[in-house]
Amino acid sequence: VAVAMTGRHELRVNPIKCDAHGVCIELLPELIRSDPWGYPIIAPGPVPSQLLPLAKRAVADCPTLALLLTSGR
Amino acid sequence: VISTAAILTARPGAIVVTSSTPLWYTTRATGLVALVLLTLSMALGLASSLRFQSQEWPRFVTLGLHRNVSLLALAFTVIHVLTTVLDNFVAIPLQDAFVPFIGTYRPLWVGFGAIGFDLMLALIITSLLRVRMTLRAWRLVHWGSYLCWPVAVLHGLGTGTDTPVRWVLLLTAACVLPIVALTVWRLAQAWPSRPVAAAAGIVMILATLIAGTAWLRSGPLAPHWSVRSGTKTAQAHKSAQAGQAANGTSSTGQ
Repeated sequence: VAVAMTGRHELRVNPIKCDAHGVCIELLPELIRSDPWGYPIIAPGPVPSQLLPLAKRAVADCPTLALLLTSGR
Repeated sequence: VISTAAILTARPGAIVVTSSTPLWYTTRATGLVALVLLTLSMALGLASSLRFQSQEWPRFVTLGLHRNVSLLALAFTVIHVLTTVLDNFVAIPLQDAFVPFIGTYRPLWVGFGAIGFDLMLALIITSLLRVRMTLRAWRLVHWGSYLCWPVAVLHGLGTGTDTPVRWVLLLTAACVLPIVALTVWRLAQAWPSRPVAAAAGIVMILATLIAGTAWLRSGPLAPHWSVRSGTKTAQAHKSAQAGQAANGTSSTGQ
């Protein structure tokens, strides 16, 4: 099954702002995993369209607003 | 609670119209529900700030509930405000719901409600626009929640028709105690990095609790609170007389 991409949204984390709350890791384990200290490691590449709502929620719920969803082409 | 003003202005045998309208009941009920929801929202916000989590309760659950309960609290508060304004048992115009201390009916205690309502709106609007704001600005506004909740409690105790009812007092205590505990816990957590601010916060909370209890005993729980709660009586009398003149039987103005 081909995974549909919508405008190539990509997730990025601002390592200076990130405080390892771990909310994004809980919400989007498909794309974000934890390093040994609880900081997020984001899978490279665009966000599949079916995960876009969760990605948006992870961005909105980040306690330090350190997660960004970019729509760079 | 039958208002003293109504009793004073009513002639023996006259029909006394008191809090018998559905709107007024709705105001009282939604006020209490809003208090419970606001408390739940505050508790969830504090739990999030404390970074509470467990195997069964991930952090996104706290945040999601916090958001939805806050919106629900706002919905009930909007109904509370609308029914208060629409009901003509007491004259509270719409601007009194936004601008504090300008009304004639218990201006101080209704005013605290207005402050709480304004803060609620600010908190929710900034949180809905959070991703478009700087974290600093959002956090600054969100600190207002530490003012919003106590002011809402004060509003409820000061002007709540049902304040002296035992289960309402117990409900209020059940709302106050967990928030006090969680806030003290939060301050204790901040102790290592900011000992002075944390100590000042804990002292302030304890002082507020003691002062609040003393005020409650000598204020809303003591007799004749409806007379002492600051309603501009001259106007209340005038409107009561106007009401009597208009239909000859009823009197208004609590």
